[in-house]
Amino acid sequence: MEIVQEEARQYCGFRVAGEEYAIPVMEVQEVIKPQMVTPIPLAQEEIRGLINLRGQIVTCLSLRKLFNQDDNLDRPYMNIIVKGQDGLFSLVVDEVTDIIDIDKQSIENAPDTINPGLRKYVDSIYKRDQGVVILLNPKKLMELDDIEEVK
Amino acid sequence: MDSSALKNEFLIESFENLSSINEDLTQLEKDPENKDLLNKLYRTVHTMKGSASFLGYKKLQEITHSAENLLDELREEKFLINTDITDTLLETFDICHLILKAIEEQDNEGEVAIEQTKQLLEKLLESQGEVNPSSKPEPEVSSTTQKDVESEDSELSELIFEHRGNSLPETDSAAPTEDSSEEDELSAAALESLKELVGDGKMDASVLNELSPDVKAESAMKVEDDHVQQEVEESEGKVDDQVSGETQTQALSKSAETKPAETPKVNPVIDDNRKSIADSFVRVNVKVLDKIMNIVGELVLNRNQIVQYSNSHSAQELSKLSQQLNIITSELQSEVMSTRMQPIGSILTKFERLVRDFSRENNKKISLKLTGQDTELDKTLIEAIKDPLVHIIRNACDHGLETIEERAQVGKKDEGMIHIKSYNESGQVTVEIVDNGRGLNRDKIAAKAVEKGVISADRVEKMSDSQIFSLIFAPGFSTAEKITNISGRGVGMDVVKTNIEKIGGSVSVSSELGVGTTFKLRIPLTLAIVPALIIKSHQVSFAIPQLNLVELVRLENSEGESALEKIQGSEFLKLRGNLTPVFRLNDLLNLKEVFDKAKSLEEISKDILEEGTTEHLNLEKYTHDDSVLNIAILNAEDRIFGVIVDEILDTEEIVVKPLSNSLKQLSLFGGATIMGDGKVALILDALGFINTVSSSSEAKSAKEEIAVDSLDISGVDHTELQENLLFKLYDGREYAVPLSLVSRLEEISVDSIQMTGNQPIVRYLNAPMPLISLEKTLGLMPDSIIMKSKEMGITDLSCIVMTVQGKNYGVIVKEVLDISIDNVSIDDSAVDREGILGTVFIHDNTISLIDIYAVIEAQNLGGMSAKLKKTREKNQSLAKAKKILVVEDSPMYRKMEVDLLEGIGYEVDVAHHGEEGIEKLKNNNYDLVITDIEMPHLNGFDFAKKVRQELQKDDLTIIALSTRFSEEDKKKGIESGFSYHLEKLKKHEVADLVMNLLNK
Repeated sequence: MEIVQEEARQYCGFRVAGEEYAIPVMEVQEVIKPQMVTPIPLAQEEIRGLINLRGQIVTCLSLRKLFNQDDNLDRPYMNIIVKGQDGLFSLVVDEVTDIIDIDKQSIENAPDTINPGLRKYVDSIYKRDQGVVILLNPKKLMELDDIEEVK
Repeated sequence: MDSSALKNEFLIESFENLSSINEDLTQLEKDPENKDLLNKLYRTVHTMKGSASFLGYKKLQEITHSAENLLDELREEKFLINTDITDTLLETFDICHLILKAIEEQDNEGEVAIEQTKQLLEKLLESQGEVNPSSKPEPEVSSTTQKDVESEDSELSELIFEHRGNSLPETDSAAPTEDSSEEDELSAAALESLKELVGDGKMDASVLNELSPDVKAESAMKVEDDHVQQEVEESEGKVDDQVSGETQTQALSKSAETKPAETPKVNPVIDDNRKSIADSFVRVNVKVLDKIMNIVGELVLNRNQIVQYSNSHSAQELSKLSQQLNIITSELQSEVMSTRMQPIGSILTKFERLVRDFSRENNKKISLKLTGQDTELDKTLIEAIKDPLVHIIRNACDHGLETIEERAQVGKKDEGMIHIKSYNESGQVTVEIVDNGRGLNRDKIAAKAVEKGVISADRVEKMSDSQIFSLIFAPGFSTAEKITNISGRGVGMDVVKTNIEKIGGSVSVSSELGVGTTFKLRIPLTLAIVPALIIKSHQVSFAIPQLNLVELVRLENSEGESALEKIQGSEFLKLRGNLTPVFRLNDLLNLKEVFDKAKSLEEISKDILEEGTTEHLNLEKYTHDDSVLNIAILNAEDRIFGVIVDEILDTEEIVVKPLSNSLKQLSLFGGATIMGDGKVALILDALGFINTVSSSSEAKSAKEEIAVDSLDISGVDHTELQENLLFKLYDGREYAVPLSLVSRLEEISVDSIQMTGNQPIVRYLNAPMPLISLEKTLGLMPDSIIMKSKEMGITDLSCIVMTVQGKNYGVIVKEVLDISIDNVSIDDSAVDREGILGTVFIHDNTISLIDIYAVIEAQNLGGMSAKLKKTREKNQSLAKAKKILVVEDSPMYRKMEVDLLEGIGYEVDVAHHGEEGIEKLKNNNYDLVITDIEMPHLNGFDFAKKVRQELQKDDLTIIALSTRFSEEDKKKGIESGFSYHLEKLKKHEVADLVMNLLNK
């Protein structure tokens, strides 16, 4: 059982500002359409606001902002709901692409040359014919805020 | 809690304790070195003893006390536990069980005999656990024999039966008749009986373990019937106790169980009764309750949404159903909440022991009085307030109450009292801890606080008593001079405060020196669902917990402008004489940006969301009517402030949802909630809000400052400004008096007014204070309002207490409006009567300024002022055209002084400041100069110096008037060249002095 998971893990692919990223599918609770967002005054700019997901409060994280990209609020987007340490988070991405089966052999460590602002979130890199997919660590994505707020 | 509820609590707890004691005991025997187990056992017995003594169950207390002593020795490792000890202890707890049963059924301890077991325990204690060392292989016999001997002369005796192997089948056969839910209690008892088998060497431990869960029987039994006894004797073949008296029987074996039915004195419904208490309670993990609570929270939100939807859609059936859903949900919510509710008495009663132990150890007599123990609180909150309460009570015992000698010295009863009152008040539970001890010493606290660096010395002086007292909650503060083992262990009152605040409560202290101290804890009923006010600002909704809300103020049109004072960029609301800081939510939270963000985010969701399935934010273009100001006045830890919002909507029950950790740094939001329309709204946390907006923490109510020097807040050069207190009289018009003369604003109950002659008075600060009806004095209305108040149905009168010449006068007004700080010019052209100084123009209103001196004079009070008036009138003729220069910057005082002097008949010239005075003196000759001290350009001291030195007018009399002056000022004044230095407000002294000087 474990071996199967080790060999070929499923990832949820998504696009943010032209790049393709993925997080382990097991981390994803669901993917939802844009919802009514309540912005939070004075909050960090990566935090878009709060949404109501069937009675639970979800904190929306803009991955564009997190990766220091322009975040145009009019742009269509999707919410990838992941479970964090202290509640649900929504990773706001431009587009959810597909479920990608990734076998272990094709995963490489992230190159040192990767954008330093991004590096802390990157687990590894998956290379395939259509291009590179950056595999992210969702826990790190949600942790970031604490680090950011210190500054 | 009424006594029966308390009794039930006690019974449930004690039955539980007993079963755990029995289990632990048997466990302990197998593992005698297990210290933890022994300690646990000791604690459990100790608790039982404590509760029993509290409820006054003497027997239970005595026997548990003996057991406790024995366990204590074991705990101290004086000797190890052995079978004898175990047996005796088990016997002891069986007796406890019987006593408890009796309490449950007859509300008293019954006639259970405890003496012999007690003696046995004591004997064990003396002999270090060896009852009969020689007969160790058969300890059972020896202990029973002992008992037999001792019980010979006891009319009532009580017996523990040991089961032999042959009784086991009977035990088993009895099992089906017992309710399985009693397993806990019973199996413990069964274990005990089996334990004895083991003790007798007839069964080994493994067999016991196998059997114990299935055996449902009680080994303890009291019989009054010889038949029963016989039966037992048959099976026992050994026991020959004589048993009599009215006692209960407990099911033990088939034989024992059938017999009670034949004995008329035994209550046949024992078993049913037992079920009633033990079975009607289910132990539920709090986590399960939490989960249920969460789900109910979801349901409440869903209900809100459905109700809101049905209100906007006219479908009869739907609205009917949603109404039903509404009712059911509310009911469910309150029931679920009630499962989490526990009477606060469950922790309060435990303090009884704390207090008693303390008083014994510390040469103090303290009684603890509890009221309102049945006040209910959420379970988690009860747990959360326990430690803070312990701390406060310890403090009260240790620091609050005096020793017996100290109390005798001050003539108090030698027994100090701590009274814990709990009650429901405005949606919160209030717990008051009142002691009648020495009270808090303001000076000591202040000195300590300064010493500890909690606060600066000059700030202390300005602080009110209650502010000083609340310093004890400051971190790093502890008044304990000596550290005792009870309090002062480095855990200060600040921890109490933080812990109480953590659960959304508050704590305050009040005290009177020598009389006592009162701590007041206010605790929310529950944390999960709270009533909140929904407000909207820039189309963004927020929830404000009702607990923080003091009042709502709505100001329309011009009202807003006049009521808001802008001082160095901060805004203050003048609210009944207080300057309350106010904040504009729109500006503070940058709500325009938030709104824009929400709007663009909504645009995108609108396109994607299917029509009709979800409601939209409906964010229209932001329009807001600026002419109306809505202010929510909030209270965070006695800091009052206002928040200006666009709209005030309704109150709603909201479910508080925590924010993720990354957002917790935003302390101004206490969480989020989901509104009826499905939107997420943030909850404004009043304390976090005020901390965020005023990091300098200076934004506190300006109440104290206002009477002293509200101008310090403003930092504006105030020498030209006049402060007036505006009020309305019963003629409906507005009047003003100088604020400097006002000492307090009071409400006076009509019933408290007494009459001396025609003068109404009240007792105020232990002295009679005359009440003045301005309407009558000024001739505005024919009758005094004070006299007519009863007819008019007024129960309380607003009263401005003014201090004139060291005396208090109460001026009755209809309504105190406001304080104005303005550069006013007094116009006396329209004055038509005595008592009005003139009119001033304040906030576009013409307001009559009251000449309070004239008003008081007109009352003909105390004889003195009247006498003065007469002498002055006499002197008036003597004032032969003398010329006086008045140097005064304040228009009000200038006018008053001029009026006074002109009234006597002098010619008066005025200068608005020292410089002008010098100029006037150069050009004119004056017989006398009266000068103010605090003036712009040239102050009074420098003015006098200049007169003496530059103008060389050494003979000219200079009278300085000031509102307050110290000895130092006086000295400085003499050095500067003042001839006289008088208090400004003592108008008559001034008049007399001037007349004496000039009329010689």
